[in-house]
Amino acid sequence: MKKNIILVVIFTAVIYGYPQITRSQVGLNTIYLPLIQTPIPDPSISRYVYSSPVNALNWGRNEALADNGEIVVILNFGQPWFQDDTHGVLLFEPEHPFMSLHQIKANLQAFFVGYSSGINSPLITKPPYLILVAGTNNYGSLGYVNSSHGQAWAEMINEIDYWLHNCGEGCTLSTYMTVVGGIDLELDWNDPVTTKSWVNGYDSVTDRPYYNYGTCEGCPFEYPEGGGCPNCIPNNQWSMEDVWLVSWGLQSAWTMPEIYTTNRANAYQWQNLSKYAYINQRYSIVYVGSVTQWGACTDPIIGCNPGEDNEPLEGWKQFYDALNSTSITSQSLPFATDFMHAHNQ
Amino acid sequence: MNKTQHFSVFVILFVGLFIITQSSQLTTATHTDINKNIDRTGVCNAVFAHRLRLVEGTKKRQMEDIAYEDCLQPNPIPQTIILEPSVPMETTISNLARRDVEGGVIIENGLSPFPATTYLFTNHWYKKTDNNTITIYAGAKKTNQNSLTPQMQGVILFIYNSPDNPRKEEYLLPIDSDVRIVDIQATKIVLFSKINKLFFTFDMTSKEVSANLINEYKRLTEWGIITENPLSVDRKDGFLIENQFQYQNNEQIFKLLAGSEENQKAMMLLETYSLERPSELVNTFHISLPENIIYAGSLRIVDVQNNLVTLTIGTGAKIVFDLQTKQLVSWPQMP
Repeated sequence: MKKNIILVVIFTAVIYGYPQITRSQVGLNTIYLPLIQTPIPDPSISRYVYSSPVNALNWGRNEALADNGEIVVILNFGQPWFQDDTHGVLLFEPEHPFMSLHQIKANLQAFFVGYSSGINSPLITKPPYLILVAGTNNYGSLGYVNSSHGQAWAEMINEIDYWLHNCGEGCTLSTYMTVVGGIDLELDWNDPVTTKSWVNGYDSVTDRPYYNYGTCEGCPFEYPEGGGCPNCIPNNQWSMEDVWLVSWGLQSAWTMPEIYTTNRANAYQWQNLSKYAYINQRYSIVYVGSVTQWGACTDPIIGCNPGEDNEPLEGWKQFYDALNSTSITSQSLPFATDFMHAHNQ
Repeated sequence: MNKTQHFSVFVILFVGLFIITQSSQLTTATHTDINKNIDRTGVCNAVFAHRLRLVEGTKKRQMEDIAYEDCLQPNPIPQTIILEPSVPMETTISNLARRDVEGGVIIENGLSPFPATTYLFTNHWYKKTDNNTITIYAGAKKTNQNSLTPQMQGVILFIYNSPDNPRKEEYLLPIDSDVRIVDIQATKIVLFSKINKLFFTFDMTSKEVSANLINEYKRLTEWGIITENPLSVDRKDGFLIENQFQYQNNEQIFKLLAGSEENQKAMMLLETYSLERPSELVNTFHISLPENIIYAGSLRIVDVQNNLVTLTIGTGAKIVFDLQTKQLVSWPQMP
């Protein structure tokens, strides 16, 4: 009997060695199952990238082993920057080190290799598919958020897309993977003229999409039961037309917005933008999914404010419910991802 | 072997397997289960279901159709994956404006890992000791967002990144605008609200804030005095002066003024005064600035080392001015 207990303990230790089991401790998959009639995504982990330790190979492998099926993962690299004749970003840690596009590309490739390796595991039960979002943001003045940076970012995406299909002699990567660009587009971080310069630059170079995973600060919204802020206007000189353009109007623009607020304000802001699109541009927006920051909220040195701590599937459900509160914005919502900070792992 | 030995071998095998699964870096991964009976079409249909909602013939739809077709291609799960020759995962020191203060560094950039929906930071100071890093962000906290009456309040945020007690502490300041770290003296943080033209002092030990009655703040350097919000020259000649650096030689007093014109153009002046008659302006030298930084905001002096003055503009871009040659030595390059 005692031996059996020991064996069980050891076997448990081995099983728990696989990160996907640890990940499943989030245990959110069953909460809303009986309530809605749409496939509920398994939330993936997205990351704010820090310079040390960068471990994209393991991140990719762990994401595959999490066995979440079809997922979108965002690697959020930081602020557009240019130095030493090279485009790149400033990373998030206090020193704000500079990471060139060459280095970012290497990290993204490592993530793909890790993921492609991971889905070989016999433990994988769900059909895998990875959409990896290579993300920057629209923070900063001085013209580094500009067309040139957007173009360089798009060229990097093109190069990775090519590499996914032609990764070298003897190398074959899964076709269950794809890369898209991304931008954490925060209205308060930059004005519409500057930000549109970046997205137009991106759009001019590639046929690969970019995902806006930002916010719609100040945008109007209204709850079905009444209330909200229907007369709000977007912050920082933005108009609804501007937000629509960068989120959906451009051919490469897709959106997977931050749904952080527990009071559903974020969900109904983006739903309202889709309604705006339907009324003013003939077609509503098709959103990719939802982004939450629960992982950041549980981080002792990041944390988040009360009321901005939606859990991954809470955020997803809020957004799904908001979108399907009217027929003109109704849609399925295939993906959910949750941000954590990669500073300690 | 007896039962105990059998069991020992069993344990060793399990532990070995555990270690292998944890430590493998998988630069080359061997196939273990190539055909999982995955319905490839089903996967691609699910991932790209939204494409059917796009209008046929549009570029957006075409792009998604291509991605869908790509998904259907062979090699869904390859047998062998080889990482291309490794590329160093390196970063380099960014050319942001910075200043060494009290064993730490002030970085003149407001990027932070915190959501912009909550905070807008202007700069931060950080200090590393062994495994610990303390970072103090200064800026504004946004409250009452997503309403018709959004508000801002000055804030400083302490981040203690240590293995023993990682934590975050937030302190709101009695002011409805953002603040910037101007200086740190021992345990005192000197903060400035540009909009309200007010200085605050925050004590890192007692965690108490006090509004300073001073209207300008002077800090000594080895080479002269930097004055923040210098009253004597504020709005001089239509200029909005952020700060000034004053130094002298045996004959003259020099004042380097940084700020902007009222039309938001960045500007920098070097004024010369007679040592014998300090109030008498001898001449004014307008320092010409590169086109790409003129409209990037207001210039501000960050630090002075020997003859080199470090200034910043926008979100932390670094500009270096040589006092001897009266020329810019370096400034942000544009692609």
